Amino acid sequence: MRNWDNVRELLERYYEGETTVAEEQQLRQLLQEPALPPDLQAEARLLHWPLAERQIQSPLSAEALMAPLALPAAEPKVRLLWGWAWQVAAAVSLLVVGFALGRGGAGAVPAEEQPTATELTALRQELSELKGLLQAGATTGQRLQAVTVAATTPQADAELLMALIHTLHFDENVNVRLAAVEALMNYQQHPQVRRALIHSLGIQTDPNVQLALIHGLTRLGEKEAVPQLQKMLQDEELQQVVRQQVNESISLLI
Amino acid sequence: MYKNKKTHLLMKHTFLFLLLALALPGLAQEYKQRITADQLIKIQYHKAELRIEAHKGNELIIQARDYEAPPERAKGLRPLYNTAVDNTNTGMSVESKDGQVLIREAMANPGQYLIRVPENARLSIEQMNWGGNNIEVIGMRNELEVKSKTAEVRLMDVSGPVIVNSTSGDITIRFSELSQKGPSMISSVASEIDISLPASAKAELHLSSVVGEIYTDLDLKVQNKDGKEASLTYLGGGQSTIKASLNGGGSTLTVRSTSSNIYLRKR
Amino acid sequence: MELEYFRTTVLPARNRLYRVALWMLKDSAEAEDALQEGMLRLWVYRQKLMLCSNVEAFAVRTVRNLCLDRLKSKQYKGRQGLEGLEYTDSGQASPHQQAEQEDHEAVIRRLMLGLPEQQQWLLQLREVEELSYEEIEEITGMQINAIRVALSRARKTLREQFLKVSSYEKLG
Repeated sequence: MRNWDNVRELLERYYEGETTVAEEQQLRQLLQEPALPPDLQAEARLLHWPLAERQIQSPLSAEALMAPLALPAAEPKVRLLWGWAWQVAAAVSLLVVGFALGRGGAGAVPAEEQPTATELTALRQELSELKGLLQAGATTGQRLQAVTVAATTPQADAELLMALIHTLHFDENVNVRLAAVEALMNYQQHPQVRRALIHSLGIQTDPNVQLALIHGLTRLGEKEAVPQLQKMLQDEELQQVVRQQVNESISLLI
Repeated sequence: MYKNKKTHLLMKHTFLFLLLALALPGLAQEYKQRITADQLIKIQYHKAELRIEAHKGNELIIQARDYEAPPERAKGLRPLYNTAVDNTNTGMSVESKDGQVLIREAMANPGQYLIRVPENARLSIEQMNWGGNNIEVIGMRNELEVKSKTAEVRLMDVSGPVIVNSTSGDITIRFSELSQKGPSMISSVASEIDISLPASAKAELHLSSVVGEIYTDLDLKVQNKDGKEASLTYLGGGQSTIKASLNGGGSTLTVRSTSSNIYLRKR
Repeated sequence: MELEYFRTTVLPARNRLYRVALWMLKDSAEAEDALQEGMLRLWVYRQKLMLCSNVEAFAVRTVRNLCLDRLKSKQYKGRQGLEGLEYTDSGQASPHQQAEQEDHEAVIRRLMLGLPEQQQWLLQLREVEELSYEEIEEITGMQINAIRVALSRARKTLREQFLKVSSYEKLG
């Protein structure tokens, strides 16, 4: 026969916040026994709830989470030495490559000037530097540069898009955020990007950025944006010029 | 007769005083500090009237035109409204940290200031709330960031890159040259933007105004005004971005306004 | 090398990070986005992570901050539906014990929502995630004693209200 008084004592310490994690585990286990005294049955039900909660698992597998991170290009150790100058140089050279690729796509550059595999590897490496620029404490000019370059990068991966989205939501400079809207418009085929543009409507307070988002979403014919737009109308501080545009866009999208 | 003489004397004194003030700028309150190359100087202001001039030296010099020291009876006490500490005796607070020099107002009613900074320093100026005075910057040669709400922004003889945004303060920028170091971007909601560039400046221009017009005398090669976009008006209002290159193209210069005109001129 | 370190230290926390995000955002798609974003953020911080005394606590804090950023957006203001956590107000007692337990859980969750936010957050970290006081201290920045007191208060309030509700149900 179990000594339930020990359990009661444990329970009392639990309510005082004095039990350890191990004791709490033990307590929950004890309270699951079938032959509980009546006074402990309610306690058992009360302490049971987290067990179900703990069963909730991430719908994204480890692989899915790792995939965007798995860039083989190890970061060069010189970064600390060279600082941003080096990264800007990389970003600028990416601009050149990106420009060349863009031209290639447009058929202006002969086929033999199409990028080779090594060029693509270099591009990939530079792409990861670009993300670095967006994420760490670069100057406003560097961030604007990075966003401008990212807008024309032929192969944006999930991580770059994420960096752009984060820039759109939270960069402290209005112009950098505006440039991020423009850049993301080039990746409108990704549902994640469309979601982010809608989501950002609820974050931005600068009228210029708000208008850029609304124009962009209207141009995309993004009906999903309507509820968020309607929500904007409830904001009393919304500037008149933005309010007008919101109304117009809602009527166009519906 | 007598009265006249007195006025005359007074005028003479004022004149002498003015002359003295001009000859001896040391009379105005002044603060100096060495700035290392490429350091970011950040100015956050509420009410002061600021004029920022570049110079060839390596010092930050703050000159208060009409500084009034705190009253004698405030000695040993600290002000409550202004948490920034006046450590320069000019009514401004200067703090150096994380590679930046942060300049803030440290008094309730700051007056006119002339702030002189090394021309190669990076400069960032932010109007912290509505109703502050205007901003004038002259001669900077490096990255220049200005965030204005209502303040009129005048940037004279700057090389860029410049990153300027304003809600309702007009923006006037005269470029001495257009730096190829990085993109420049100027945006406003309800204020006119007037930009003059050297005729030889190389740039990739991205211009847009949602409801305003863009006027220019620059020799632009417009790239996207072809059959595909016969109508520049987008679904949902607003006009498309005009992309044009200037002198064969160069660094990107983006100018966008929501409700006002944009003027782009040759110097 | 870094990738391997990340795989063995951060990735195992993904279920916990997801639960924290879900609990904060009350929306599985949003929580998924926040988790992915959190992982990228942590990847950016990976070198800093190696110097961290408790990687999981750091990770939880990172994801929580991202969620707070998301919550700051007005989109969430006024949003009430708690996806998957709806409480059904049916007075009928379920014949099966399992279903009965589920009912209890719905009641408890509803009661939890009435607690101060800080207490809810502590319950989540302690009861669901079984974190030690030291870890909770690192995540919340609260002092251990304050954590203990707030947690004790939360547990007691929950108990008191739960007993009240159960006795009503018995009477009905």
